[in-house]
Amino acid sequence: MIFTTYWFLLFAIAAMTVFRLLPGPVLRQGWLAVACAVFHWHFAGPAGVKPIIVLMILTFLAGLTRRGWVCVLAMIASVAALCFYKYSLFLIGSAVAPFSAALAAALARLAKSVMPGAPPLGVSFFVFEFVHYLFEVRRGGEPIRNPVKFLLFAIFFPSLVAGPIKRYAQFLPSLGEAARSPFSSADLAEGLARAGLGFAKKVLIADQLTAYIDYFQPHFDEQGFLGQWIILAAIAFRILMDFSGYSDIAIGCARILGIRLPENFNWPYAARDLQDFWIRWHISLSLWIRDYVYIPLGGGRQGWPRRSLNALVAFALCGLWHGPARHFVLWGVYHGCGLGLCATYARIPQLGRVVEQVIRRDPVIGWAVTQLFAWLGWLLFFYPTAEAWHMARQLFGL
Amino acid sequence: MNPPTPHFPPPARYGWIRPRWFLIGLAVGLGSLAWSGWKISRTDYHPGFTRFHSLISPEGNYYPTLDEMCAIVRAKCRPDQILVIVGGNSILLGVWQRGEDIWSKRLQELLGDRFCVINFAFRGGSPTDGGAVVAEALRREFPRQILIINEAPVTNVESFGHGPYRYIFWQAYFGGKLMDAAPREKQVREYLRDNPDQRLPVLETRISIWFDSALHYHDFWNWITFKYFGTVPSYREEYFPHFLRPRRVYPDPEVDGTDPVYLEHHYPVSALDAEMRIMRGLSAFYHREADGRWVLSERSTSDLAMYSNEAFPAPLKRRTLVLISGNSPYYRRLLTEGERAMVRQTFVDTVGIWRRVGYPAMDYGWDYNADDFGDRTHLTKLGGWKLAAQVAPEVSALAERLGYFR
Repeated sequence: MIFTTYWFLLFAIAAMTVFRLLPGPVLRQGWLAVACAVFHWHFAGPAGVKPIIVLMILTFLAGLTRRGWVCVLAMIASVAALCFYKYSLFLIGSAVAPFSAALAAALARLAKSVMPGAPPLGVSFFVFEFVHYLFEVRRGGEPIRNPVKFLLFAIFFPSLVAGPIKRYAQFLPSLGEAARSPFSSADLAEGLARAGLGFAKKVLIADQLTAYIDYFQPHFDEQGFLGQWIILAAIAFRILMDFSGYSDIAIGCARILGIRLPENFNWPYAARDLQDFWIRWHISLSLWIRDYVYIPLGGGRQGWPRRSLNALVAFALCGLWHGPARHFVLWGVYHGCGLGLCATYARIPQLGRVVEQVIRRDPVIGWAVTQLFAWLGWLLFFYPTAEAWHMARQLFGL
Repeated sequence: MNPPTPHFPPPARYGWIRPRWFLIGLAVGLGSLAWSGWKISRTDYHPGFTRFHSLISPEGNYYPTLDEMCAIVRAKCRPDQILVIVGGNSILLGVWQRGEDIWSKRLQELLGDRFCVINFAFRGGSPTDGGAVVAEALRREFPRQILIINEAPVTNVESFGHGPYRYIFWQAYFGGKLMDAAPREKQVREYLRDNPDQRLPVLETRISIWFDSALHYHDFWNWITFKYFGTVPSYREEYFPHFLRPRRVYPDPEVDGTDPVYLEHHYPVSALDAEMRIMRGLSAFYHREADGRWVLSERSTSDLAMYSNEAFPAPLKRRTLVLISGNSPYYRRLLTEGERAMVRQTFVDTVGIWRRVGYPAMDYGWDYNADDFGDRTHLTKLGGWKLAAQVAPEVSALAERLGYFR
């Protein structure tokens, strides 16, 4: 919603114009830092900004020490903050309530009394970027010594709300180049085209599909066979258009400033298998999960059973990252299982070889199975488990 | 040592874009759209306008702009005519009356060609919504104007519109088209102070109006959606699958409340309790004296007087005819005698207070019968025509008093 507000439009025009008019990298970066702080303050409010400032200072200082254990402690603090702000009520409800309802109620009351009304804006993105930064510094990467540059890495306004999740080794050179380089009409034109595409995806397609789904989904059972599948397609395209539209706006706005952000989507509904899907869908998150969860867990180095388990854990966390609810975890596990199956089905005696040959001979079958799997997964993502199961059964006439 | 960069896919290619031509094209395109919007904002594209029925109003996800409404007035009303704008809520909008039988049309017939009656009431609108804003915005262009509004008894009226129709007020307010009125300014300030959650939406509205004053995109897209193809769904069940159809082809969905087919829908048993609660609820503002008289509480009297006094800028009060809308006798007869007296008193007191603070005011409906109403408050064609017959002489007399015939 933030990118489709008039306030953002006015802010973006002012911030980008002044950035381009100012001479020299110091003034430009200083101005951009002020603009990003204004943006963050406006949309997050004081309650949303304070925890991020604390985490930011902690991460910055921990990075400067370059000591492994300090970085690990700072990472733990970041993840703990994320768990506290986003998942504490969910964790209390899931882990404590089954054993003691009274204790769960008391803990929930305590948590609510110290938490702001809603989790700080973009807290998941902040934490992921901070963990990435600390992880890389701990591994020997060069820390960011300039606080303004670190601030810009942390609260760069185009990517603050919904990513893409940046990598500092990629972002900082691009920022430096943008601050030094003169105005480029190519950047402006391409940035405007990209942001315009994003607005069109979001407003003209995603929002209209949302209205369609909001109207028809409650009457899902009454729809015919075709109508039910059209609703599923609408759900699948709505999330793609909405999320990739947001990413396009972020990438386009950054491009107008002369800064390159990583791509986040690459035609995911053209994927021919589930691994391919996750290389194309929310790429910056997939790569983050791969680099900072899956590989540290052991990745695919210890045989296929361990590899499948690692994928399952990584994707359960990926699901949980999307929101504090069981159906998100299930969605993650669903994809984890799918990836496990995708990586191992060929080993199934006889049947596996046959299936592999069929898919190799006719890639359309692989594409259809992958999309069916991913699209059905959206039911789990958007609706409570029982409702998603009911809808899935209806789709197959069961 | 810097960490390795993961393998993100290459950035999307825009090599086909020639920056200079793209930017020139963008500027020319945006300029053309803005110019078209500006032209459209001065054009009436509602031929034969009767009212903003539910499919061309905010309840159908169509938001008429202030300029669009002003353009209707300019197209319909000659400079030598006295402009009569109908504001208020669904009762004056003519719910339960078909477009061709609507009471405001009848009012036009009764008033004759010296007057031009335009109905800008909205369902759920307040007296200071839609029509009131348009009338005030056009006060210099159409100085001989009368505004007809309605309200329920003992209801405080905010001076800056209400709910989903407040956007029209903001368009005029932030667009600098309203009179300076200190009490209204104070109410707006207090509203923003007491409703911090509204500050950002109002700021958002203010910025959008600022953009729109240069680009006129609201008028442009309303014109497209009305004349050529729907750009947003109507959310009305029967029209949703066809939402791409232009709004001009959507028929006015109001039905004739006097049609026997609908008679059984007038007073459903399921609504009885709620309707009776509304009428009996008026007693909350009253206490009963020993001699049996119902007396409006001091607090309610002062609140009502204050809100009525501040509802419109002082110079506009005399041209604002306030109607206090009556209830159907179907429900009134279910009240006890004491309750009926109390309800009657609410009308007497409300009309009295509006008059005391400077407005011409009247109530109606006490001598209407059950068939004149489509439900507790809305009038059928029969009731609407009775209302027109009752209001027409008041409007004429008001025009006379204001010197409009000179």
